[in-house]
Amino acid sequence: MGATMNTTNNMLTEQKAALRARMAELRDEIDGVKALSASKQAELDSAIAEQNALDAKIASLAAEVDAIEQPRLHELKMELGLVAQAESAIRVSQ
Amino acid sequence: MPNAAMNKFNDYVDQEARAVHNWGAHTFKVALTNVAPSPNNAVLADITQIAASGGYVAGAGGGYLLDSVTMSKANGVTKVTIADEVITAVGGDMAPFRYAVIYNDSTVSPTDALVCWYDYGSPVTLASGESITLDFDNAAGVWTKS
Repeated sequence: MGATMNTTNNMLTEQKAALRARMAELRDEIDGVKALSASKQAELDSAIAEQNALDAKIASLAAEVDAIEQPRLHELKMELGLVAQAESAIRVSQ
Repeated sequence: MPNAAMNKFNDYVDQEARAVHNWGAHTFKVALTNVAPSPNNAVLADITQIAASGGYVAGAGGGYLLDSVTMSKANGVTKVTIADEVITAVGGDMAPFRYAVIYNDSTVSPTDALVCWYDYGSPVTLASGESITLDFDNAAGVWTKS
């Protein structure tokens, strides 16, 4: 009984060690792939940072424009739509 | 003009996921065509716009500016609403059109990315001075996302 348990434990320990070794190999391979693109990734990160700064400016300006225009502009456009529909419904005989 | 069901271009969702569209800041326009759009169309250049007539400006950046696009959010749902757009033929008759196509005039890559189109069932011709109201469903909005 005790001997069987020891054998099973040894097998599991070996299996676990083999899987850990494979995990280490895969991590090394992943690091290798990422190393190939590292300089481009840095360039991309820098471009994204620039874009984020521009996005923040765009969002701020859009909010300022909205604050000036809305809700009055939307109300006026909707009223124009209603008036145009009423105007179109009137048929004048020639 | 009554409102019509919205048909989404297939590429729209992909471009949205790539942050190409910004409903809070970009310029959206509506172009007119009498040729049925395909769901696989992606940019304005894929659309056969009506000829320049009755005040309609065709070509790149063509159509009418949708100058009241608003966003609202409530309980985790964001809604984009576009105010009615009244199109009036000026200086002559406007060429017949059946479809109204919304696109993003601010996008550069891809250029003038398409959003969706509306089918009004049959061609409409506006004589000079006549108007039509494009109704983008002010209550339900053009689209919602949750």
